[in-house]
Amino acid sequence: MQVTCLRENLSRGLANVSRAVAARATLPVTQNVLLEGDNGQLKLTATNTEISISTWIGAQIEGEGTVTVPARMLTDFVNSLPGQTVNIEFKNEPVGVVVTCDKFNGTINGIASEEFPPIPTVDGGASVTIPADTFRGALERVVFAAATDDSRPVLTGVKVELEEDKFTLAAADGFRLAVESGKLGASIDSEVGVIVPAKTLAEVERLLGDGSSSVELSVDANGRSAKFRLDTSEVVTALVQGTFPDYEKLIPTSYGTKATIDLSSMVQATRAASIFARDGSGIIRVVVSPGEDDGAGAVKVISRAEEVGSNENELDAAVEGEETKVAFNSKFLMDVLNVMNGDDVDLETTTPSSPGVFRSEKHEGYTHVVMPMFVQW
Amino acid sequence: MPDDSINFDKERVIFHIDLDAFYVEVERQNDPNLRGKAVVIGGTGPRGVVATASYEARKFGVHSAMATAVARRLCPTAIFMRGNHELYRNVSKKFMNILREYSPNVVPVSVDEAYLDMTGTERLYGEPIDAADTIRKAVRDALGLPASIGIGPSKLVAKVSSEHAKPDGVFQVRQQEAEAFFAPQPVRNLPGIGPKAGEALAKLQISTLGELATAPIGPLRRALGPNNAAHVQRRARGIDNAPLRERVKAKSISAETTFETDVSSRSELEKSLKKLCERVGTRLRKSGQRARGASIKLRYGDFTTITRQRTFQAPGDGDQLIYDTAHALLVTAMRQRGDAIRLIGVGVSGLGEQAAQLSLLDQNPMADSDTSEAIDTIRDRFGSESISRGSV
Repeated sequence: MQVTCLRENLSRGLANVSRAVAARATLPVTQNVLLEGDNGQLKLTATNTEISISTWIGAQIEGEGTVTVPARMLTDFVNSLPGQTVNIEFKNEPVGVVVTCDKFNGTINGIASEEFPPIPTVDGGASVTIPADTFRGALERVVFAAATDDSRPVLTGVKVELEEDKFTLAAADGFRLAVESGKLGASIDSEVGVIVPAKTLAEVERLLGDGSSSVELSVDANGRSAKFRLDTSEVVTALVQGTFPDYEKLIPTSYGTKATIDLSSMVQATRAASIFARDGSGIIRVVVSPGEDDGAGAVKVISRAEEVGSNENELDAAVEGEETKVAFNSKFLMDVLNVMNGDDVDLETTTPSSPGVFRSEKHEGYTHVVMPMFVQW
Repeated sequence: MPDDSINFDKERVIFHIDLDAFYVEVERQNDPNLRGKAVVIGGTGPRGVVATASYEARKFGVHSAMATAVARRLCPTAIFMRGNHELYRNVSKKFMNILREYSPNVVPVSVDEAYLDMTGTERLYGEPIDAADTIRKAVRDALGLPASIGIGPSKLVAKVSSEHAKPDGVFQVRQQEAEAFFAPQPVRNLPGIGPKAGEALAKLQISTLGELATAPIGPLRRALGPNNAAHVQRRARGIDNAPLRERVKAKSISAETTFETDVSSRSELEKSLKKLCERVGTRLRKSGQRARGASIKLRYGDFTTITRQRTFQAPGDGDQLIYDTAHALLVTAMRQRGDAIRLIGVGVSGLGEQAAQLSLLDQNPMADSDTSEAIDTIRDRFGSESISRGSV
């Protein structure tokens, strides 16, 4: 088989699948990328058996064939080529490819595609379509809250729920919880609840940068794997097995104090406070005070660096309820503020040891809960 | 700028009090037969280290931190004892309480050593020399232990003076005498100059504090570090304006143990690890701080030493947290290299304010801290062996 394509497209395609290439080779072929012709396009696939990414790029295809070659070598070589058009010739003896571009020429030996792990076909279960922008925004606001260490495997995943015309994503690392709901493209009959690895969703979020208009999410009948179909890529993933915490119970149903603060000012104050907090235990204290005689209230963002200095930033805020004090880990505070948008952020608190809830009028479906730090006041 | 000025009119009066051969003297209180004999207290196993040697044993060249095996060769007639550290701690508490009767400002340095601020006590106890004798007598009457006291205008001078007071005496150095008193002494007599700094100074042909005080600063900066050189030079002149109670917070806390014979059994290593974690945890909690991570140190039979560390998910101070983290590190290290281990150590670092990240999912995120603290309280009251964690 002969493939001719633009170097730039091939480069982007290889970058798309590269995250699924196995880092360590228990199975050497998983360090390879699978190349095949598919309906007049070149299909690239990589898998580490947990997650598989395929991407399609426009190409001129002559003949038929498939081959796998070392992903790293092909990617690095293609990225170093000078010309605009790349020609790939598939070879059988030995198995491999010859890559030609202008007068550059590389021969890369590979492994027969029969040895490449089969990518699970995901079917028999529910399938929904979600507008790409809606889904990407939800991923951006939820995925970071998932746990990165695997002491509790279910928390390394994001709970994905589908019901009627609504989808919900929820992630928690034991100290914070992010939940976002949004509308599906069309209603579904069945209810779906699966746990998708956060790493997979981070890849989907990255691939959504390609300008896809929608995402099609399919789950297989026995809840073992899921597929995300984008315009020019596809991600297939194993699902996390286990029971996700009942996150709805973790969201406080009432609050003692609610402060509405200008978001950009709050981001600025928190960023300033983080500088002092990083020398200590990362503590940022937040004091919310209602205004007198129904006047405007205030929020103070305070931090100290042991024996070095301290910082106190005061912001105007619309405060409803009693004065409260609460301390947060600066990273958790910064993380949530960074993904909020809109003019204002709402912070709901009750006591120094009860969770703080962050919401934004702009994203009605979004709720972020952060457990405070227990500090001496 | 560091304050170099010294106000001679308002000279402080600082005592450095040190119990002579503390462990040995406590043992002699228990067993008068030990009097006048060479006694060495420390680890008695093949890899034990000397904690204290009586003056009789010191004549043979035995000193603390020496391998017990070496001490046995130098002084075969000495009586070697493991020592009763719980008893020493109790005596130490009584000792500190006596000191507190004479000064409101007592800063313990170790079990047998403390600084007292005696400034302005002349009307109560007379001249500093007399006050020192009064305190020494009180200690001897109550505990039967000999104490030496160095008197100076600062912690530094008091500490160096007390070396001249030993054994069982008093020695006073005033500020105007300090520089001359320090000048002929070897550099290693200055607290803070260890073997490494001593070696570095020797290379510069500096062997006495007088030479150190007048040495050009450039080479000193290279030998002692750019920030340290000027400070050390001031101290070599006997100048120290540090307050008695310095807020020196430890940046890390660690404990380690050397096995009598190299160990490769995982269960035995786990047992030692658990003990060390509890020791580190107790000290961490007493310091009122929480740690951001834990580390382990392993020395193999061939003396190669490795350290491995890991950050906690959230800062903490509980024994279980420290153990779980250290244990995971140990398991990984043993998988990488299964050789027998000579020494095992545990440390916590990234110490900071007493703050805990509350958990969203666990019922009582403070359980580990609370349990560990309760164990500390019981041990304080009933001794370190009175309670221990079971293993599941």
